[in-house]
Amino acid sequence: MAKMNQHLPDDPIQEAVSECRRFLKHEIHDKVLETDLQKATDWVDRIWEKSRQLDLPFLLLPEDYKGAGFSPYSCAVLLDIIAAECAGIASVFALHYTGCIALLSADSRQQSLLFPRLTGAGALRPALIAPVFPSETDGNRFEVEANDHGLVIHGTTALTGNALTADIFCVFIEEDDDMGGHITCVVLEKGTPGLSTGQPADLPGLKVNGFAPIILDHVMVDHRSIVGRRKKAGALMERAKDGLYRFIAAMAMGTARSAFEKASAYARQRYQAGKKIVHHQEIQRLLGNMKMKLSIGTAGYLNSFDDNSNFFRFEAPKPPLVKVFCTDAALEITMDAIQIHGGYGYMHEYGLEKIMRDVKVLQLMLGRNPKCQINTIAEEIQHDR
Amino acid sequence: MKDTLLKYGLRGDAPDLMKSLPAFGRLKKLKPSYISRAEAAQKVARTFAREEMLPRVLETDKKCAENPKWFDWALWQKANRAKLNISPIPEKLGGLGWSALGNAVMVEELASVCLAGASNITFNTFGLLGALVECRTGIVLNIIRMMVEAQKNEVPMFWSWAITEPAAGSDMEEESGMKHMRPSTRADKVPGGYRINGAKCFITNGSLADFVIASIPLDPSHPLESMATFLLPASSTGFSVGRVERKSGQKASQTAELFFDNLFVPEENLWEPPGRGLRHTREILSVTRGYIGIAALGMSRGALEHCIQYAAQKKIKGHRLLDEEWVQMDIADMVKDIMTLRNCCYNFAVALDTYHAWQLFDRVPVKIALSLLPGKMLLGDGIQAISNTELVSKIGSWYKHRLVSDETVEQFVTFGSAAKVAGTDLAARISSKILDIVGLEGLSHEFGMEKYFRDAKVTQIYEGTNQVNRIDIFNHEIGSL
Repeated sequence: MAKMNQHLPDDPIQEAVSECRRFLKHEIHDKVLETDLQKATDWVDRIWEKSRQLDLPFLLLPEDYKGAGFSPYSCAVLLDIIAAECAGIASVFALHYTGCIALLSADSRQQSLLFPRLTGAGALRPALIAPVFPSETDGNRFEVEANDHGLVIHGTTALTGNALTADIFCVFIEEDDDMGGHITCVVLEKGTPGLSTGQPADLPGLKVNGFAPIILDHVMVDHRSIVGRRKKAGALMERAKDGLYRFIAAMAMGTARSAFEKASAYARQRYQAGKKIVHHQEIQRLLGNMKMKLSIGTAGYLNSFDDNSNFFRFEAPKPPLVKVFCTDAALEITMDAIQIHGGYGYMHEYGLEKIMRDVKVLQLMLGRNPKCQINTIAEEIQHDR
Repeated sequence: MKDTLLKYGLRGDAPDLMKSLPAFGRLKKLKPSYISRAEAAQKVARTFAREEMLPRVLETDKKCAENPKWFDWALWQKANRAKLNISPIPEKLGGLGWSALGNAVMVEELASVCLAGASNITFNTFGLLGALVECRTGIVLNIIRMMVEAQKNEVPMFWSWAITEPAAGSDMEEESGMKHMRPSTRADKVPGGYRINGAKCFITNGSLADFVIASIPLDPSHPLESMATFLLPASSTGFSVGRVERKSGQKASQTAELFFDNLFVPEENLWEPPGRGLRHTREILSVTRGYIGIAALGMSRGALEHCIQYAAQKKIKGHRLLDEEWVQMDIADMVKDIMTLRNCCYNFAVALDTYHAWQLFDRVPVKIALSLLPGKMLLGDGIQAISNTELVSKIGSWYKHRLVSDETVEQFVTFGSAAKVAGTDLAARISSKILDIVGLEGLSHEFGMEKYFRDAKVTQIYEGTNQVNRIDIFNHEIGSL
């Protein structure tokens, strides 16, 4: 675990943060509102290409494969910063890093095939991953049939981020209950026969990220593309999901920080009843409430990386709960930031209402928040038994 | 799937007035026509909302997202033919004669389907509301004539109410704010009238308006003491529309900047003299804030109905989403909050009929005039000429102020603010909570639920931010202690 106080000024993360901020300012800042109004998957492609200058696509990959060798913790910090500028772009990287977490547990033969694709060896475009998780919803279950060549998979996934731009799909399949309800993890290249995307979703936020269901129509998966089955795949999926929960939390805090900073700046220049609104107690209380949630949420997601925390016998926050807390807090912060802005906050050009829409999607990614809370305790009860 | 469940809400029978407010049973016994007319209004509004608005609401939202100036004229024409945009005008004069209660029922029904559609149809009563503040008979009758005439001829006529300025939103709505505000508009006295300069912003229907009722000070260094109310015809030289805003929600209702460049209005367009502008604003707010609460009630109900339908159909591991205990608890909680809010809102509406301007239509002199004189004569030039005389105008104004005192207005600002804050905070909460239930897959635009979430936020901001509404509640109830 990388603790905050272990980061010295010459730590690579410090340098990455500075570079990332410069990149955001030059490549993203001026385009955020414009791209929110149109389906801008080509813009995502360009940003993805350019981001290789900063090693962003291969942050998590080992240095042996020309990756940057960063920890998921460092990725989360960078996602927080990217999301403060554009949550849609941040979500593209967050989902990609989630896929990387899964593939870091692939066997060495698979890694040697996949990692050069991900780092863009030979001047190729670095491959973008879409991680695909099973959904609770009926109709998103799969038929999996094993044969001598591998597996034949048939079914449709739930809505998946990066679906329209991904080069590689890291798919966790929950086989139909009749077949045991086991998890299988496979890696599929875009263009695999039988693999296609369904009707793209028209979500209110994260608009630059193309969400759609993935259709697997009797897709043949050879042995080389099977990353794991049963227990191994189940553990892999939990690791990847835990990563994504934390990344969502980091993005939520980034977007909320941006909303807070806008509200704080606006309150310092807008007058009401003869004084700047920041001098009104009610606005101070609102800003204080926002800052409190922001501080606790940020500390929470950073702390959730500390798997071995035993400080005073307090366990580290569970990743799903960190996601719930941070996204709920982010929505409240954003709504209050709009409220402080009055009518201006509701207008597209001020960027706040976009943050509200983005946060609402973050809140619903990787499961409904009440269900995340329920499942956390349900799993604990299972462990008790 | 239980059929009854699928029938709940937009596609079937939501609880009607008497079912959702059983206490009205007593009122129905005492005054049968009052309640039965409101029940009839609910039927008309509900049918219109479901048959005319619901099928087009998402497509309209999309079109307006692409082009904020796009307006659904076809829907407006249908509403106009049904007279929904002139509903408070007495039947004898060509309107529907709906009481404040009848109008409340309509607002709830229309907003349960689309907030923007509801505001396009009902905000038009600003003209009548504004004229009723001083109740100078000539002005009131003339406005009714114009509105009825336009309705008959199917010619759009929009009325806007312009309070907000770039540097003053909340400040325009209460005394301590107005004392210190920095106005962006000013009016100067010139021979025969006034010259008006400056800008207003976030004006609902500003880009469509034929007439704008605007609060403008004569002395910008003393806004409270010099604030006046003017009627500005949009056809005046010097009147221009700026940007039509790109908003998060309520997209089908246009919000625009207005510019006044040396705009001349004659003396008679001064509706409220300098120093009385805030009083005029307060009286309009004393009605409209409560109606925003009622619109929020409609939105909360509509959002919940969508959610229930979705949850009843969505299957999760072999059972319905609706069968999950946490979903049931959340839904029960929302039903409870809607029931509580409904009581607050309809108490406000009935009180409007009893103590506010609506009681005019129930008073003997107006009743006699409406029952004895034929409609044509009431709206004819003869009566108009008599109404225009100073004596009759003064009598009208005196009589109305006798019925609706300054204290009554402030009391209704408090009632209305309470309904507004309770309603809009609830609409914001429910429209978000239903998305937490339906999840990412129910979030897509075509399911019609995320629109409620985007729409609801604005209701916490306009008609005074909820913070300013709270200040009003405190000041009136406790402030003097």
